Amino acid sequence: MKIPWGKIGMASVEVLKSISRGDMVLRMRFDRLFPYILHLFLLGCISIWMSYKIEQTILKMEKNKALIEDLQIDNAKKTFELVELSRISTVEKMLEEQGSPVKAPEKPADILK
Amino acid sequence: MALFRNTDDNQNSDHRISWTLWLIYLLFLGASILIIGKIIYLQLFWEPDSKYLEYFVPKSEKRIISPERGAILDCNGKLLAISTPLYNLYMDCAIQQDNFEGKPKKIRDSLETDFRSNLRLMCNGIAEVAGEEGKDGKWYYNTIITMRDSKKPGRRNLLLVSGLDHASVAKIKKLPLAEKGSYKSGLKFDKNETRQYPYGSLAYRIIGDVKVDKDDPERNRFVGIEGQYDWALHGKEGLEWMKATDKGRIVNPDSTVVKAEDGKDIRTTLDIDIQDIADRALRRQIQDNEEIEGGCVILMDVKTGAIKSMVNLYRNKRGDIGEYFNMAIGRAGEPGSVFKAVTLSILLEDGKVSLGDEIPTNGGQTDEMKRMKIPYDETIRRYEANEKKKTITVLDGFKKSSNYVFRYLTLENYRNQSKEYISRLYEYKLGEAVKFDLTEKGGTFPSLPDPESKYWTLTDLASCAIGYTVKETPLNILTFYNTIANKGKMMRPYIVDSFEEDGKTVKRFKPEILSGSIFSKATADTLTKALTAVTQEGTAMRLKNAKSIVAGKTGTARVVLLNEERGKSNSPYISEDGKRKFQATFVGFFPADEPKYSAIVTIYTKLTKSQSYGGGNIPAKVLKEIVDDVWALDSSWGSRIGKEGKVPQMSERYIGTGENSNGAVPDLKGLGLKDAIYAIENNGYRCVYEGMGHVASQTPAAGTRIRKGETVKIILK
Repeated sequence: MKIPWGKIGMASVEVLKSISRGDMVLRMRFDRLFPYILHLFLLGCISIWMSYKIEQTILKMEKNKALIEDLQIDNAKKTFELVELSRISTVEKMLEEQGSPVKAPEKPADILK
Repeated sequence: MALFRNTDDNQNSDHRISWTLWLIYLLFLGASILIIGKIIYLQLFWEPDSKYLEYFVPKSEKRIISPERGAILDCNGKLLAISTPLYNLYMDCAIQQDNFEGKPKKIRDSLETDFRSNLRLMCNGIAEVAGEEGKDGKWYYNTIITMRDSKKPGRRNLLLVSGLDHASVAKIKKLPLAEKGSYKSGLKFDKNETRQYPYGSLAYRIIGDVKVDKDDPERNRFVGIEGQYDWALHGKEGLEWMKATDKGRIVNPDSTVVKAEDGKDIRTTLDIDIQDIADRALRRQIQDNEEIEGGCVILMDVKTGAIKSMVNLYRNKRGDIGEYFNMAIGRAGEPGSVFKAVTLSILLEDGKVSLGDEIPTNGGQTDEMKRMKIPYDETIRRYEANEKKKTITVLDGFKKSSNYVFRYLTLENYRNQSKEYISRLYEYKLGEAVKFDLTEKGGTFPSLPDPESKYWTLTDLASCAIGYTVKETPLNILTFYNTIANKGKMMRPYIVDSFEEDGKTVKRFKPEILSGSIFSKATADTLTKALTAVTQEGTAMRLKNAKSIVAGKTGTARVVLLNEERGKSNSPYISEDGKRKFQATFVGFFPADEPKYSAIVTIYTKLTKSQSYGGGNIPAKVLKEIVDDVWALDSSWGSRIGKEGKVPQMSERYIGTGENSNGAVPDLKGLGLKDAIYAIENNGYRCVYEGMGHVASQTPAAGTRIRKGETVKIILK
């Protein structure tokens, strides 16, 4: 098949001339597609912005996770200390050291029906 | 007129504007061609220098998410075991030395001086937080500087403090130099998840622990609930991929994330208050008695078989008493006289005897027994002398724990039916270890003699009747006595109640019936009557004044000695210097009329010259204390006051404020206003306050001794 080099050459020259004149986009009727090109551009910007925001949120989440872990450890420690103090023999010992007359019950509690 | 411009001028102006716009357009066209061309070049053709390549591609790092180990709780939800992190503090003593090296001498010296002065402040802070004896700020500073200057190996990773808690780590991180981060201060924290036990060593052998030695699996240790139920407590690791950003590492949202499954919490049937009572009661009796090797206590709920408390105290070679071995389930021995209730139950159930039947005393030894070389029963000889009688009732024989009575009854009724007798023991689950949630490594198991063996003789039958020649663990014996209390229904003892996740039950283990009726209710009632007689009139009269009526049996057994203990002695029970070892037991249930708990107390002695260690002595004392304290704690035994009822009269008792103080100002830091005022006025002082929130400071300081009526000022923030 014979390649029409002449026509390709002339078309290329026309394209270059059109680009240099600044009316290439108009000649290709891209003005009709302009809103869609703008829309695509905006979508791209939004996508990039969202990725950035997701990364920032995940970063915040990681920091909050560390904070929550700290609070959970503090909570566990305080629960541990509270439970340690609730042991019957510990309470009796503490009361004795304080010279308190409060002692362990000698009979079961009466129940009001 | 100038208003109307010349057409040629307009055309010239238009041409100029057009050229300007065209030039601007060309500029932008050129720039966009350059940019697009550069983008294509960078994407398709350009490659960075290999040594910088790694910094261009953010690394994705796999991170294993450790699951949180489940907690262990008692029956009321009280924490028995929980995981908290502890930290080891390491110091890179050579920190920043490389940075300083490259600088001029004057600047280098100034930086080093600055670093050292901050280091001194940091070390003072560490000493205050760590509070280790003999190690002040100066010690830490000198240690670090010595390593820094000496260039010794190990200076990059010097252990300063171990076992710091989270709050201490937070304080250290705020110290001068430390607050600048590990790259400037050289401080590194190594976190280790450790198991903490709020109740100390209480129920340690039940709660247990897990130790894994990766280098030597033979040294792995899986003890108690922690070990046996590690598969439920551990949980499952998770996985996530992290990527680096300019602000730090984050989870890569485009990668797979496998969530960690936290371990399940285990709720046990233990009541930690009862455990505390039992531990204290046993410890009180054996602590100062060097002849006692150890002891165990088990308390069980009659209706369900739930173990409310299991104490195992043993004296180690250093003389310290602690929970080193679970004797309750792992030490099988000859139970002695407590086994007489088993023999009596078989006799009653088979209709062979009733409690009122009289049998001849024969001086405590029949001719047959003499031939069998069974010694006479001293109890019967004393009975004959005191009561002037030649017969004794079965009930009296049981109350006095007469070996003669039970040997006689068994020989008379089962001489030709030994196999049937032993079969009944198997039916009572006394020939096998009770199916329990825990096992004890290195423990011994229950065993019964074999009547079909060529070594079987009637002497063995007579021995079985009184609790010798058989081997039982304390839990086995208690399970039998619990069956008496439960009117013949045998319950499986268990200690794990349920698995929970975030407070919700995900799996519950229900009480299990091992046998619906091993004997009739009538037999159970008769046995209860006999056991009540033992505590009210028999060998366990120490329990007569217990706050709840106890039904039970004492038992004293000599323990078979090891070869090295026996020496040249011919007897398995006596050493060559005449010493013996004893196992003393009391087992029963209370209240006798409507049993709620069954309990066993067993004491083991060392080699001793004592002739006996009775179950009616120390074991009975221990159980009395337990019964009295448990009875007082349980409001279900309290009086009911309804529309009509007797309201107890309270005696007037004056408790003045400040009477229970020790004369010193209490520590109020962190308290709310109401609590602080209460604490101050309760100690007899006046309170003046300022601000809102919690007490941040107080004047005078905590511990200061001031007179009653003086003022304590608190600042709230």
